[in-house]
Amino acid sequence: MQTEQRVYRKLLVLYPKAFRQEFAADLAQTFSDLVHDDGAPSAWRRIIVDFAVSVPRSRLEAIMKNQRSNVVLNTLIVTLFVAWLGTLALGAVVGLPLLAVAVVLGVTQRSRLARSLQPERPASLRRSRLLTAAIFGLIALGTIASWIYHINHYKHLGDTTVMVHNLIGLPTLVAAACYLVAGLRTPRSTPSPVA
Amino acid sequence: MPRRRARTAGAQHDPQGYLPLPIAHFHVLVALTGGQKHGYAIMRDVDELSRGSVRMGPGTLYGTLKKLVDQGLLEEVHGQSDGPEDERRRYYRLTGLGQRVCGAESDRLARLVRVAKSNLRPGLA
Repeated sequence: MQTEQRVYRKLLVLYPKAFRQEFAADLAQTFSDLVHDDGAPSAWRRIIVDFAVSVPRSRLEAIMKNQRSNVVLNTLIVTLFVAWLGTLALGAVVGLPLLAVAVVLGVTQRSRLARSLQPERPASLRRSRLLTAAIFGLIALGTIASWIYHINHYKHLGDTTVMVHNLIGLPTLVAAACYLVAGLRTPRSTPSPVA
Repeated sequence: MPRRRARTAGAQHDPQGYLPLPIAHFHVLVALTGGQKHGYAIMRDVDELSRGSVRMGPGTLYGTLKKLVDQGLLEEVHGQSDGPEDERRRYYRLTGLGQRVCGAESDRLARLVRVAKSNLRPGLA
């Protein structure tokens, strides 16, 4: 094996492990072809530019792939938002940081960059949406159960109690319905390629 | 957001949802309209098609190929090599969806070029 081949193979360590495992042989073969056809100097000029572009991108993709799942993040966002609504309903303003964190997480999670870097996984996307629907549904059911309990056990319901139940129950019910519809509309798997 | 909808709800098979294609993706699809090819042949075709303006390296090329395979626009072909030296190589070809997406992007760009020509040189379009 020539020196440049060995150097190139060493440099492949810059790529994420999964990418390397899948494509190392193809990358090395392509580099070998480039050196053979264009000569080493021209091949290296192309390779340097390629590393500068493709290494950061593949690293970012790997980071996005390994981050906590959408369900966990979505649940965290909703929990923070509901907590903020709760503090608001109780007349406290200390909950504003909760809203700020929820907004930042939401924008980060839903940004175009984040979505473009996430791998296409329709099957897991379907599960994720249905699971999110289930979580929202459970919160909504809990709120409804609490509402029924309060009606049966107390003659007069305070404004705060009514507000808290409405603020939690209605949004989570709507969110559960939306995620359920979105989940059911998401296909189970990628389309089978037609040759 | 039609792009996101079509890519996640892939069963809809709506080519318009994939547009506009990134320039490298479109060049790879066009390179494969001539039939199945391995990575290096695709790279050379992209060089030629773009007259050197799109020069992909191996990392960019295989990252792009992986993405296109994940989206269902390309598929790997096994056991289709022409000679023993090519047996080690991974071959790719367009899927039906890939062909439709490539056609839709071609139409979109053709419309754009017509408008540009018409506006820049009235009477010559």
